[in-house]
Amino acid sequence: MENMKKSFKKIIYIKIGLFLLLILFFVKFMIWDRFDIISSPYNPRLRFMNENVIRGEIKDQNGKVIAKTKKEGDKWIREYPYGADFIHILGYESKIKTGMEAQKHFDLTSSKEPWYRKLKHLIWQEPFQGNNIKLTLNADLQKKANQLMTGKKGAIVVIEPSTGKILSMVSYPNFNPYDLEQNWEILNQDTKNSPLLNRATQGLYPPGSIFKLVTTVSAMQTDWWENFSYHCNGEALFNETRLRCYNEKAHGDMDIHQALIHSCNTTFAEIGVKVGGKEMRKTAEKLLFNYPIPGEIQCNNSTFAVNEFSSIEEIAETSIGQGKTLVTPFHMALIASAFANQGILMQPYMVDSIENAMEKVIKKTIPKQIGMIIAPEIAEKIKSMMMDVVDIGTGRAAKIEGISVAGKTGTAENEQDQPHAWFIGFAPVESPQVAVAVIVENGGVGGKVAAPIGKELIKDVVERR
Amino acid sequence: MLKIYIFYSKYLFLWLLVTFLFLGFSGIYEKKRGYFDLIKRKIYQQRGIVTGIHINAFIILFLVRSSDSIDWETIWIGIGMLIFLILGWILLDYKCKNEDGFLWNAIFLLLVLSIVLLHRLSPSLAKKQLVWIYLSFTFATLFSFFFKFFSTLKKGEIIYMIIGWGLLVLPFFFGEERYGAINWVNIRNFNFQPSEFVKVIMVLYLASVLKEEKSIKEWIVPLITVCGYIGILVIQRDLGGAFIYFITALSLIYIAIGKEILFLGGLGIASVAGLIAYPLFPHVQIRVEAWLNPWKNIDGRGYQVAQSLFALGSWGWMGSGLTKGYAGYVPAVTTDFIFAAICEEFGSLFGIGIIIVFLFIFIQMSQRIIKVKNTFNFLLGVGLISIFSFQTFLILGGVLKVIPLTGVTLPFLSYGGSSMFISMLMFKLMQWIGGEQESLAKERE
Repeated sequence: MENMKKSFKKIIYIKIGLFLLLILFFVKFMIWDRFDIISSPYNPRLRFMNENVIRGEIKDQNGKVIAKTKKEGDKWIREYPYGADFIHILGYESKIKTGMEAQKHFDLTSSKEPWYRKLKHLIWQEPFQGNNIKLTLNADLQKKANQLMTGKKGAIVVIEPSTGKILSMVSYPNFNPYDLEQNWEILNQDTKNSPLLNRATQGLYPPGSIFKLVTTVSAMQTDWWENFSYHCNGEALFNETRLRCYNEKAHGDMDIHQALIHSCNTTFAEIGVKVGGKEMRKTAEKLLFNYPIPGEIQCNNSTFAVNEFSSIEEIAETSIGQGKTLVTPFHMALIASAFANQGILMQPYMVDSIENAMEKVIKKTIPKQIGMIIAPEIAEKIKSMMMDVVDIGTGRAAKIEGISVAGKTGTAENEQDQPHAWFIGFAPVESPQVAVAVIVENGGVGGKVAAPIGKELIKDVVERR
Repeated sequence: MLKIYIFYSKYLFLWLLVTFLFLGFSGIYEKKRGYFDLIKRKIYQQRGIVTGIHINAFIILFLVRSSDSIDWETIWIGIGMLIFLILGWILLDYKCKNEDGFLWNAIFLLLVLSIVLLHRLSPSLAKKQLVWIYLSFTFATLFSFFFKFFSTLKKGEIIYMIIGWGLLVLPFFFGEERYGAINWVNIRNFNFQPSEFVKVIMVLYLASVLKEEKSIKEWIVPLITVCGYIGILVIQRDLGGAFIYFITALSLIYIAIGKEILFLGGLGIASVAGLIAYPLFPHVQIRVEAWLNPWKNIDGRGYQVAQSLFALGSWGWMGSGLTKGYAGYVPAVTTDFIFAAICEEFGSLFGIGIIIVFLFIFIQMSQRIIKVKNTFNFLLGVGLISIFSFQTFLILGGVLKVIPLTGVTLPFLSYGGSSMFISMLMFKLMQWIGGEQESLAKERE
């Protein structure tokens, strides 16, 4: 009998443990897991919860309101003071829910006001005030970026390299949120301009010469790159495929540094072939090609097709950014920010904090590293090469008096006659505050079309400080 | 104004529950030290709290439902439950002095919440549940006069064994399928779930077998019987039931024989058997899949678990307030998922409090049973508390997505006649076993 009691005691302890486990899981669920779960569009409560809550405001980094709810008659109406400027970021509420309005629906429609305010609302029979969301974006910069793109098609992404804060993100053409209801059919069927598409995160483009930065990173991991030299005749044959430099200009004797400054295609094709498909792929995947980018921002994967079995011509084409490689402007901005940040990539984010109606911060995003995607010494060397690109190379149009800018241009061939114009870069080189990626669809030469836009953006951010 | 009343009632409910638990746990402590007067006062205070929760909840329900005209249904159900509480306490005070007052208070609290929640979700079910509560409490009380018969019965094992087999195979003849399991019997509009009753019979059977030491030969029949019971439930696809039977039988055998290797070995064999059988049971795979990732198939397999998590998580720690939630979207919310409704409307902190109420019942009951001297009674008590606690763990774990969902009821809270009947009977039996000991102790004094 005594033995039985001893055994029973053990079972009692196990069972108590099981119950405590339940409580532990429950608490963990309430503290961490629930927030992602309950914002699911399948949660029927989301439809009803905002009946008693006024949807909160969305603000930029300085507290400027970019979306708010106003009473008009006896109806509540969502107002966007910046019109079309933020459309792809905020998304739209009607039809298909997208963007911040959809992603942060739960936070915007729940209220964390202090109890006495809630009591006041209850007594006066008025709705609670929903939480506000503060973004990392700068409204003035966003406005400027939209102006710079006017009349063009393309995308702009501006990031703070040391934190991963997104300062601006523009996709053009955009559209007015107020017209959405009436013009839905037109907007939706406009396949030529695709205004509904967020080109910055969803658009997939050939990278052109900005991809040479990836080829350079790959080459610098070898032991021969410092002694490498090649004589450029303006064109060269790789198996059956003939590659040409821009305007078939013969660059003469080139090392890697020179080749990057002048964006010499034949030299880079040669470098790529020498590095080999296997190593190229390793580098590209380290730089998050073919992988989703961690974080809250939904983004298409950039794709990199070459591997150890690829043919010589395929590798040659890929190393200069043609071939099957496709990238998103967002990803390219991240790569620029990694060069600026000693090879360390910060997780990009757009929601700086969530605050209640009294502007008390409830939740704040803390910058987080994704990891070191480029070795620091390689990043430093390429940084100085990119500085030369802007000082004496193809990116001269991005030069700014008094600020040292580093960058790389790209001119990406595609099915249409006009190539896409690319520019990625960062500044000031000594302690980078901003990294940008600019693409103008069928805009022409990167150094002439995209680099000036990059310059204006960089100037705007750095001078504002 | 009603909104404000509902809003601040959340805090009142939580405060009442916390006080209730504090009184209960301090009561255990004082009982150990023998402060009997203090204990009596605390039991009365707890009763006050239970009544308070009941009246406040029914005032809210009444006001919400009487926006147009006075809702008499709510009044009658509220008063019916109040009368039950008062009659129950009077009966316990005069007839069942050896039974533990704290434990009964905890059960009455669960019953009150059950009626409140059911009335909130579906008044017709609340009415039926109230009838079940009256019937099962009365029956358990009357039947308790025959409890002595169990422990004096010689050769009881044969009778129990036969009744068990008989009841379990009934669904094969008069079966009815519910939620993918064929474990209900329907005879002339009278529905019940035999596996609920056989739970107790199996424990009675095992207790009579295990009370004396056995030779290896004598082990064959009991093992076949227990494995047979579990096998039948597996065939009827009542996996939650099978799991409860298994753990209970294993715990009992382990306690009677006292070798850890037996317990661990049993678990090991069961795991291996489970792994082998896993591909053969598509409905198990569905449950496991829905548990691992309910979001993948949120319209189908994952629907139930996902809806439960929405109910738990949407309103934060304090809940939506009584009548303000949307628990109706959770499938089977009146039976298996009633805990999700509690957490939605009373808040997650209150929900944690309810888990602690179950923990309190388990701890206090175990402490009473462990003092029992009679081997048969002891084993019977151990088996019953094992069923009670493990069943609670299974369904709470399923609702909270800690373990895959198994369709079992939450004792005293879920709607259901069979469940209420058997939970009450088991509880009364456990109280009697503990009380028997106390009366013996008093006699000796």
